[in-house]
Amino acid sequence: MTTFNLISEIEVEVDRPLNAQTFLKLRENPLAIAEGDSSASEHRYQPTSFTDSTCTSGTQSRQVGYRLTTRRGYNGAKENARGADWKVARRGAYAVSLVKYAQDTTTSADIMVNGSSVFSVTGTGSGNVQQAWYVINVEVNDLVRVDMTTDNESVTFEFVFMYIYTDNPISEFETLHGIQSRTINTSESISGAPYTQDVG
Amino acid sequence: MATYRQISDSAIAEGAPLSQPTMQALKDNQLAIPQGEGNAPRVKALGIELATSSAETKDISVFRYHCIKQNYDSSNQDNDTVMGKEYIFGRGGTFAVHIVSQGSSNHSKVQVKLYKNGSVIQTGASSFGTVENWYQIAFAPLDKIKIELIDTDTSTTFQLGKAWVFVYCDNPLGDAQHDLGRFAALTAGTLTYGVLSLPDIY
Repeated sequence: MTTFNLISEIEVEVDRPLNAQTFLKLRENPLAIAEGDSSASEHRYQPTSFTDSTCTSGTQSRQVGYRLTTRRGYNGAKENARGADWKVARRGAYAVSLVKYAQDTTTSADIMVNGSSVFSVTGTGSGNVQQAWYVINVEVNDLVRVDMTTDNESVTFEFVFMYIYTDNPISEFETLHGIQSRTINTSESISGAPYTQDVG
Repeated sequence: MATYRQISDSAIAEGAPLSQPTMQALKDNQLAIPQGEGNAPRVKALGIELATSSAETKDISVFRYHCIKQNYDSSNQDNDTVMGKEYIFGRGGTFAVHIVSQGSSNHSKVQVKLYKNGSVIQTGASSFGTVENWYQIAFAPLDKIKIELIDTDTSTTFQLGKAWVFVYCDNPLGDAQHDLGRFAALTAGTLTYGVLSLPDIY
Protein backbone atom coordinates (compact mmCIF):
# COMPACT_ATOMS: atom_id res chain seq x y z
CA MET A 1 0.00 0.00 0.00
CA THR A 2 1.01 3.59 -0.66
CA THR A 3 0.47 6.31 1.93
CA PHE A 4 -1.59 9.44 1.28
CA ASN A 5 -0.24 12.76 2.57
CA LEU A 6 -2.25 15.91 2.01
CA ILE A 7 -0.50 18.66 0.05
CA SER A 8 -1.05 21.96 1.80
CA GLU A 9 -1.88 25.23 0.05
CA ILE A 10 1.43 26.61 1.32
CA GLU A 11 3.35 23.99 -0.63
CA VAL A 12 1.93 25.20 -3.95
CA GLU A 13 1.85 28.94 -3.38
CA VAL A 14 3.67 31.35 -5.67
CA ASP A 15 7.46 31.45 -5.31
CA ARG A 16 7.45 28.57 -2.90
CA PRO A 17 10.59 26.43 -3.37
CA LEU A 18 9.75 22.93 -4.49
CA ASN A 19 11.03 20.08 -2.41
CA ALA A 20 11.24 16.34 -2.62
CA GLN A 21 8.41 15.81 -0.13
CA THR A 22 5.93 17.64 -2.33
CA PHE A 23 6.87 15.65 -5.39
CA LEU A 24 6.65 12.44 -3.39
CA LYS A 25 3.07 13.34 -2.46
CA LEU A 26 2.24 14.21 -6.06
CA ARG A 27 3.48 10.81 -7.12
CA GLU A 28 2.01 8.69 -4.38
CA ASN A 29 -1.33 10.28 -3.50
CA PRO A 30 -3.15 9.11 -6.66
CA LEU A 31 -1.85 5.60 -5.99
CA ALA A 32 -2.94 5.68 -2.35
CA ILE A 33 -6.43 6.80 -3.34
CA ALA A 34 -6.76 4.12 -6.01
CA GLU A 35 -5.49 1.46 -3.61
CA GLY A 36 -7.93 2.56 -0.91
CA ASP A 37 -5.18 2.95 1.67
CA SER A 38 -6.47 3.87 5.13
CA SER A 39 -4.51 7.13 5.02
CA ALA A 40 -6.73 8.15 2.07
CA SER A 41 -9.97 7.32 3.84
CA GLU A 42 -11.33 10.83 3.34
CA HIS A 43 -10.73 10.66 -0.38
CA ARG A 44 -12.62 7.55 -1.48
CA TYR A 45 -14.12 7.39 -4.94
CA GLN A 46 -17.65 8.72 -4.70
CA PRO A 47 -20.61 7.61 -6.84
CA THR A 48 -20.40 10.88 -8.76
CA SER A 49 -16.88 9.98 -9.89
CA PHE A 50 -18.02 6.99 -11.97
CA THR A 51 -18.60 7.30 -15.65
CA ASP A 52 -22.11 8.38 -16.59
CA SER A 53 -24.72 5.82 -17.50
CA THR A 54 -25.51 5.58 -21.19
CA CYS A 55 -28.49 3.96 -22.83
CA THR A 56 -30.29 3.26 -26.05
CA SER A 57 -34.00 3.92 -26.18
CA GLY A 58 -35.90 0.75 -27.00
CA THR A 59 -33.08 -1.54 -25.91
CA GLN A 60 -33.44 -3.94 -23.01
CA SER A 61 -29.77 -3.98 -22.08
CA ARG A 62 -28.96 -4.23 -18.34
CA GLN A 63 -32.04 -3.83 -16.18
CA VAL A 64 -31.32 -1.73 -13.10
CA GLY A 65 -34.82 -0.78 -11.97
CA TYR A 66 -38.28 -2.32 -11.96
CA ARG A 67 -41.46 -0.88 -10.55
CA LEU A 68 -45.14 -1.73 -10.77
CA THR A 69 -47.84 0.80 -9.92
CA THR A 70 -51.42 -0.37 -9.62
CA ARG A 71 -54.59 1.62 -9.18
CA ARG A 72 -57.96 0.21 -8.30
CA GLY A 73 -60.79 2.64 -8.83
CA TYR A 74 -64.24 2.35 -7.40
CA ASN A 75 -67.58 4.08 -7.82
CA GLY A 76 -67.59 7.73 -6.94
CA ALA A 77 -63.89 8.26 -6.38
CA LYS A 78 -60.85 9.18 -8.44
CA GLU A 79 -58.19 6.93 -7.03
CA ASN A 80 -54.69 7.95 -8.05
CA ALA A 81 -51.67 5.78 -7.35
CA ARG A 82 -48.24 7.05 -6.38
CA GLY A 83 -45.36 4.82 -7.39
CA ALA A 84 -42.49 3.69 -5.23
CA ASP A 85 -39.26 5.63 -5.71
CA TRP A 86 -36.20 4.30 -7.50
CA LYS A 87 -33.14 6.16 -6.26
CA VAL A 88 -30.45 6.92 -8.81
CA ALA A 89 -27.04 5.58 -7.78
CA ARG A 90 -25.11 6.83 -10.80
CA ARG A 91 -25.54 9.89 -12.94
CA GLY A 92 -26.40 9.61 -16.60
CA ALA A 93 -29.00 8.55 -19.10
CA TYR A 94 -31.30 5.59 -18.57
CA ALA A 95 -33.82 4.09 -20.98
CA VAL A 96 -37.22 3.72 -19.36
CA SER A 97 -39.85 1.37 -20.70
CA LEU A 98 -43.46 1.89 -19.65
CA VAL A 99 -46.05 -0.81 -20.19
CA LYS A 100 -49.46 0.45 -19.18
CA TYR A 101 -52.77 -1.34 -18.99
CA ALA A 102 -55.66 1.07 -18.55
CA GLN A 103 -59.38 0.56 -18.95
CA ASP A 104 -60.13 4.27 -19.05
CA THR A 105 -58.89 6.80 -21.58
CA THR A 106 -58.37 9.47 -18.97
CA THR A 107 -55.86 7.40 -17.02
CA SER A 108 -52.28 8.50 -17.51
CA ALA A 109 -48.98 7.03 -16.43
CA ASP A 110 -46.31 9.60 -15.64
CA ILE A 111 -42.59 9.14 -15.17
CA MET A 112 -41.84 11.35 -12.20
CA VAL A 113 -38.32 12.65 -11.51
CA ASN A 114 -37.99 14.31 -8.13
CA GLY A 115 -41.74 14.73 -7.98
CA SER A 116 -42.25 16.29 -11.40
CA SER A 117 -43.65 14.61 -14.49
CA VAL A 118 -41.15 14.33 -17.34
CA PHE A 119 -43.13 12.00 -19.59
CA SER A 120 -46.75 10.99 -19.77
CA VAL A 121 -48.71 8.26 -21.51
CA THR A 122 -52.45 8.81 -21.66
CA GLY A 123 -55.32 6.95 -23.23
CA THR A 124 -55.68 3.33 -24.16
CA GLY A 125 -54.06 1.29 -26.89
CA SER A 126 -54.85 -2.01 -28.51
CA GLY A 127 -56.25 -4.30 -25.88
CA ASN A 128 -55.93 -1.37 -23.48
CA VAL A 129 -52.16 -1.84 -23.50
CA GLN A 130 -49.73 0.95 -24.31
CA GLN A 131 -45.97 0.70 -24.45
CA ALA A 132 -43.59 3.63 -24.62
CA TRP A 133 -39.89 4.37 -24.18
CA TYR A 134 -38.37 7.48 -22.73
CA VAL A 135 -34.80 8.46 -21.86
CA ILE A 136 -34.24 10.17 -18.54
CA ASN A 137 -31.11 12.14 -17.67
CA VAL A 138 -30.64 12.05 -13.93
CA GLU A 139 -28.19 12.83 -11.16
CA VAL A 140 -27.06 10.73 -8.20
CA ASN A 141 -29.80 10.53 -5.55
CA ASP A 142 -32.55 11.69 -7.92
CA LEU A 143 -35.83 9.89 -7.30
CA VAL A 144 -37.70 8.25 -10.16
CA ARG A 145 -41.15 6.72 -9.98
CA VAL A 146 -44.21 6.07 -12.13
CA ASP A 147 -47.60 7.41 -11.05
CA MET A 148 -51.09 6.70 -12.32
CA THR A 149 -53.65 9.50 -12.35
CA THR A 150 -57.18 9.55 -13.65
CA ASP A 151 -60.43 11.44 -13.90
CA ASN A 152 -62.32 8.18 -13.88
CA GLU A 153 -64.78 7.70 -11.04
CA SER A 154 -65.98 4.20 -11.80
CA VAL A 155 -64.70 0.72 -11.01
CA THR A 156 -61.41 0.00 -12.81
CA PHE A 157 -58.29 -2.03 -12.32
CA GLU A 158 -55.25 -0.57 -14.01
CA PHE A 159 -51.50 -0.86 -13.75
CA VAL A 160 -48.22 0.23 -15.26
CA PHE A 161 -44.82 -1.44 -15.30
CA MET A 162 -41.66 0.64 -15.42
CA TYR A 163 -38.35 -0.96 -16.44
CA ILE A 164 -35.09 1.02 -16.32
CA TYR A 165 -32.05 0.04 -18.40
CA THR A 166 -28.42 1.08 -18.79
CA ASP A 167 -26.02 0.13 -21.58
CA ASN A 168 -22.83 0.40 -19.52
CA PRO A 169 -23.42 -1.17 -16.10
CA ILE A 170 -20.83 -0.74 -13.38
CA SER A 171 -21.85 -3.50 -11.00
CA GLU A 172 -22.28 -7.16 -11.76
CA PHE A 173 -25.86 -7.53 -10.70
CA GLU A 174 -29.12 -7.30 -12.59
CA THR A 175 -32.38 -6.20 -11.05
CA LEU A 176 -34.78 -9.12 -11.08
CA HIS A 177 -37.20 -8.03 -8.38
CA GLY A 178 -38.85 -4.67 -7.93
CA ILE A 179 -41.33 -2.80 -5.81
CA GLN A 180 -45.07 -2.71 -6.30
CA SER A 181 -47.03 0.32 -5.20
CA ARG A 182 -50.80 0.32 -5.32
CA THR A 183 -53.85 2.00 -3.94
CA ILE A 184 -55.33 0.25 -0.99
CA ASN A 185 -58.42 -1.78 -1.77
CA THR A 186 -61.50 0.04 -0.53
CA SER A 187 -62.37 -2.82 1.78
CA GLU A 188 -59.24 -1.92 3.72
CA SER A 189 -60.76 1.50 4.44
CA ILE A 190 -57.57 3.58 4.12
CA SER A 191 -58.41 5.05 0.77
CA GLY A 192 -55.63 6.46 -1.33
CA ALA A 193 -52.63 5.49 0.75
CA PRO A 194 -49.95 3.58 -1.18
CA TYR A 195 -47.99 0.65 0.13
CA THR A 196 -45.18 -1.40 -1.32
CA GLN A 197 -44.33 -5.03 -1.68
CA ASP A 198 -41.90 -7.14 -3.67
CA VAL A 199 -42.99 -8.35 -7.02
CA GLY A 200 -41.37 -11.20 -8.83
CA MET B 1 -14.66 20.00 -3.21
CA ALA B 2 -11.42 20.41 -5.13
CA THR B 3 -11.57 21.95 -8.61
CA TYR B 4 -10.28 19.93 -11.54
CA ARG B 5 -8.08 21.81 -14.03
CA GLN B 6 -6.75 20.47 -17.28
CA ILE B 7 -2.92 20.47 -17.37
CA SER B 8 -1.71 21.23 -20.87
CA ASP B 9 1.24 19.48 -22.48
CA SER B 10 3.05 22.82 -22.77
CA ALA B 11 2.78 23.36 -19.02
CA ILE B 12 4.88 20.27 -18.39
CA ALA B 13 7.09 20.39 -21.48
CA GLU B 14 10.85 20.12 -21.12
CA GLY B 15 12.28 23.49 -20.14
CA ALA B 16 8.89 24.98 -19.32
CA PRO B 17 8.80 26.86 -16.02
CA LEU B 18 6.82 25.09 -13.34
CA SER B 19 4.11 27.63 -12.59
CA GLN B 20 1.94 27.99 -9.54
CA PRO B 21 -1.28 27.14 -11.48
CA THR B 22 0.31 23.91 -12.63
CA MET B 23 1.29 23.00 -9.07
CA GLN B 24 -2.23 23.89 -7.89
CA ALA B 25 -3.72 21.65 -10.57
CA LEU B 26 -1.40 18.78 -9.70
CA LYS B 27 -2.45 19.09 -6.08
CA ASP B 28 -6.19 19.50 -6.62
CA ASN B 29 -6.78 17.12 -9.52
CA GLN B 30 -5.86 14.06 -7.49
CA LEU B 31 -8.67 14.95 -5.09
CA ALA B 32 -11.18 16.21 -7.67
CA ILE B 33 -11.23 12.89 -9.56
CA PRO B 34 -12.41 10.67 -6.67
CA GLN B 35 -14.78 13.42 -5.58
CA GLY B 36 -16.45 13.37 -9.00
CA GLU B 37 -16.06 17.12 -9.44
CA GLY B 38 -17.97 18.48 -12.42
CA ASN B 39 -15.07 18.77 -14.87
CA ALA B 40 -13.02 15.84 -13.60
CA PRO B 41 -12.65 12.75 -15.80
CA ARG B 42 -14.91 9.94 -14.68
CA VAL B 43 -13.74 6.56 -13.48
CA LYS B 44 -14.53 4.00 -16.16
CA ALA B 45 -15.21 0.31 -15.82
CA LEU B 46 -11.78 -0.37 -17.31
CA GLY B 47 -10.23 1.49 -14.37
CA ILE B 48 -11.77 -0.76 -11.76
CA GLU B 49 -9.95 -3.76 -10.38
CA LEU B 50 -10.57 -6.86 -12.45
CA ALA B 51 -12.91 -9.58 -11.33
CA THR B 52 -11.25 -12.73 -10.10
CA SER B 53 -12.58 -16.24 -9.68
CA SER B 54 -11.56 -19.69 -8.57
CA ALA B 55 -11.91 -22.67 -10.88
CA GLU B 56 -15.08 -24.69 -10.37
CA THR B 57 -15.98 -22.68 -7.29
CA LYS B 58 -19.43 -21.31 -6.55
CA ASP B 59 -18.39 -18.06 -4.91
CA ILE B 60 -20.63 -15.06 -5.51
CA SER B 61 -23.15 -15.65 -8.24
CA VAL B 62 -23.48 -12.72 -10.61
CA PHE B 63 -25.74 -14.31 -13.23
CA ARG B 64 -28.04 -17.30 -13.55
CA TYR B 65 -30.17 -18.34 -16.49
CA HIS B 66 -32.24 -21.39 -17.26
CA CYS B 67 -33.59 -22.56 -20.62
CA ILE B 68 -36.31 -25.19 -20.90
CA LYS B 69 -37.82 -27.02 -23.85
CA GLN B 70 -40.68 -29.39 -23.26
CA ASN B 71 -43.76 -31.16 -24.55
CA TYR B 72 -42.93 -31.81 -28.16
CA ASP B 73 -44.09 -34.98 -29.92
CA SER B 74 -43.84 -36.41 -33.39
CA SER B 75 -46.68 -34.22 -34.63
CA ASN B 76 -45.03 -30.96 -33.77
CA GLN B 77 -41.36 -31.89 -33.61
CA ASP B 78 -39.58 -28.81 -34.85
CA ASN B 79 -36.09 -29.09 -33.34
CA ASP B 80 -36.22 -25.46 -32.35
CA THR B 81 -33.57 -24.28 -29.96
CA VAL B 82 -34.13 -22.13 -26.91
CA MET B 83 -31.97 -19.02 -26.76
CA GLY B 84 -31.25 -17.43 -23.41
CA LYS B 85 -31.18 -13.75 -22.64
CA GLU B 86 -27.84 -12.00 -22.87
CA TYR B 87 -25.92 -10.89 -19.82
CA ILE B 88 -23.75 -7.76 -20.07
CA PHE B 89 -20.57 -7.62 -18.03
CA GLY B 90 -20.16 -4.36 -16.19
CA ARG B 91 -16.55 -5.03 -15.26
CA GLY B 92 -13.76 -6.97 -16.85
CA GLY B 93 -11.91 -9.91 -15.37
CA THR B 94 -11.96 -13.66 -15.16
CA PHE B 95 -15.21 -15.29 -14.19
CA ALA B 96 -16.00 -18.92 -13.41
CA VAL B 97 -18.72 -20.12 -15.76
CA HIS B 98 -20.71 -23.27 -15.10
CA ILE B 99 -22.89 -24.59 -17.92
CA VAL B 100 -25.15 -27.59 -17.62
CA SER B 101 -27.46 -29.47 -19.96
CA GLN B 102 -29.91 -32.14 -18.99
CA GLY B 103 -32.08 -34.25 -21.29
CA SER B 104 -34.49 -36.96 -20.31
CA SER B 105 -33.87 -40.66 -20.69
CA ASN B 106 -34.27 -42.06 -24.21
CA HIS B 107 -36.47 -39.25 -25.41
CA SER B 108 -34.86 -35.86 -25.16
CA LYS B 109 -31.26 -35.46 -26.16
CA VAL B 110 -29.84 -31.97 -25.74
CA GLN B 111 -26.65 -29.96 -25.60
CA VAL B 112 -25.81 -26.43 -24.57
CA LYS B 113 -23.76 -23.84 -26.40
CA LEU B 114 -22.12 -20.86 -24.74
CA TYR B 115 -21.96 -17.62 -26.72
CA LYS B 116 -19.63 -14.68 -26.17
CA ASN B 117 -20.47 -11.52 -28.10
CA GLY B 118 -22.61 -13.52 -30.50
CA SER B 119 -20.11 -16.31 -31.27
CA VAL B 120 -20.08 -19.83 -29.87
CA ILE B 121 -17.06 -20.32 -27.62
CA GLN B 122 -17.97 -23.59 -25.89
CA THR B 123 -20.22 -26.50 -26.79
CA GLY B 124 -21.27 -29.18 -24.34
CA ALA B 125 -21.67 -32.81 -25.29
CA SER B 126 -25.02 -33.99 -26.62
CA SER B 127 -26.63 -36.35 -24.14
CA PHE B 128 -29.84 -37.75 -22.72
CA GLY B 129 -28.33 -37.27 -19.28
CA THR B 130 -26.70 -34.45 -17.35
CA VAL B 131 -23.57 -32.81 -18.77
CA GLU B 132 -21.69 -30.26 -16.69
CA ASN B 133 -18.74 -28.12 -17.74
CA TRP B 134 -16.77 -25.44 -15.92
CA TYR B 135 -14.71 -22.74 -17.58
CA GLN B 136 -12.73 -19.74 -16.42
CA ILE B 137 -13.27 -17.08 -19.03
CA ALA B 138 -11.84 -13.58 -19.34
CA PHE B 139 -14.37 -10.88 -20.19
CA ALA B 140 -13.98 -7.18 -20.90
CA PRO B 141 -16.50 -4.56 -19.78
CA LEU B 142 -19.66 -4.72 -21.90
CA ASP B 143 -18.92 -8.21 -23.22
CA LYS B 144 -22.07 -10.30 -23.53
CA ILE B 145 -22.77 -13.97 -22.95
CA LYS B 146 -25.77 -16.22 -23.38
CA ILE B 147 -26.56 -19.89 -23.73
CA GLU B 148 -28.52 -21.84 -26.29
CA LEU B 149 -30.32 -25.08 -25.56
CA ILE B 150 -30.00 -27.33 -28.61
CA ASP B 151 -32.45 -30.12 -29.39
CA THR B 152 -30.21 -32.82 -30.84
CA ASP B 153 -32.84 -35.57 -30.90
CA THR B 154 -34.64 -35.45 -34.23
CA SER B 155 -36.44 -38.74 -34.35
CA THR B 156 -38.26 -39.38 -31.11
CA THR B 157 -40.83 -37.74 -28.96
CA PHE B 158 -39.28 -34.83 -27.15
CA GLN B 159 -40.33 -34.57 -23.55
CA LEU B 160 -38.04 -32.30 -21.63
CA GLY B 161 -34.65 -30.68 -22.05
CA LYS B 162 -32.94 -28.13 -19.84
CA ALA B 163 -29.85 -25.95 -19.83
CA TRP B 164 -28.34 -23.60 -17.27
CA VAL B 165 -25.56 -21.09 -17.07
CA PHE B 166 -24.11 -19.76 -13.82
CA VAL B 167 -21.44 -17.08 -13.59
CA TYR B 168 -19.32 -16.56 -10.47
CA CYS B 169 -16.58 -14.31 -9.21
CA ASP B 170 -14.95 -14.00 -5.80
CA ASN B 171 -14.52 -10.20 -5.56
CA PRO B 172 -17.90 -8.80 -6.66
CA LEU B 173 -18.48 -5.12 -7.29
CA GLY B 174 -21.86 -4.22 -5.84
CA ASP B 175 -23.74 -5.11 -2.71
CA ALA B 176 -26.40 -7.33 -4.20
CA GLN B 177 -26.04 -11.04 -4.78
CA HIS B 178 -27.68 -12.82 -7.64
CA ASP B 179 -29.71 -15.33 -5.67
CA LEU B 180 -32.35 -15.50 -8.36
CA GLY B 181 -32.20 -16.15 -12.06
CA ARG B 182 -34.28 -15.91 -15.17
CA PHE B 183 -35.67 -18.77 -17.12
CA ALA B 184 -37.05 -19.14 -20.60
CA ALA B 185 -39.32 -21.97 -21.59
CA LEU B 186 -40.23 -22.88 -25.13
CA THR B 187 -43.39 -24.93 -25.10
CA ALA B 188 -45.19 -25.50 -28.36
CA GLY B 189 -44.14 -22.17 -29.78
CA THR B 190 -44.69 -20.13 -26.65
CA LEU B 191 -41.74 -18.27 -25.18
CA THR B 192 -42.11 -17.13 -21.62
CA TYR B 193 -39.82 -15.40 -19.20
CA GLY B 194 -39.89 -15.36 -15.46
CA VAL B 195 -37.83 -15.14 -12.33
CA LEU B 196 -37.12 -18.11 -10.12
CA SER B 197 -34.65 -19.25 -7.57
CA LEU B 198 -32.19 -21.29 -9.63
CA PRO B 199 -30.00 -23.40 -7.35
CA ASP B 200 -26.78 -24.64 -8.91
CA ILE B 201 -27.50 -28.22 -7.84
CA TYR B 202 -28.54 -31.26 -9.94
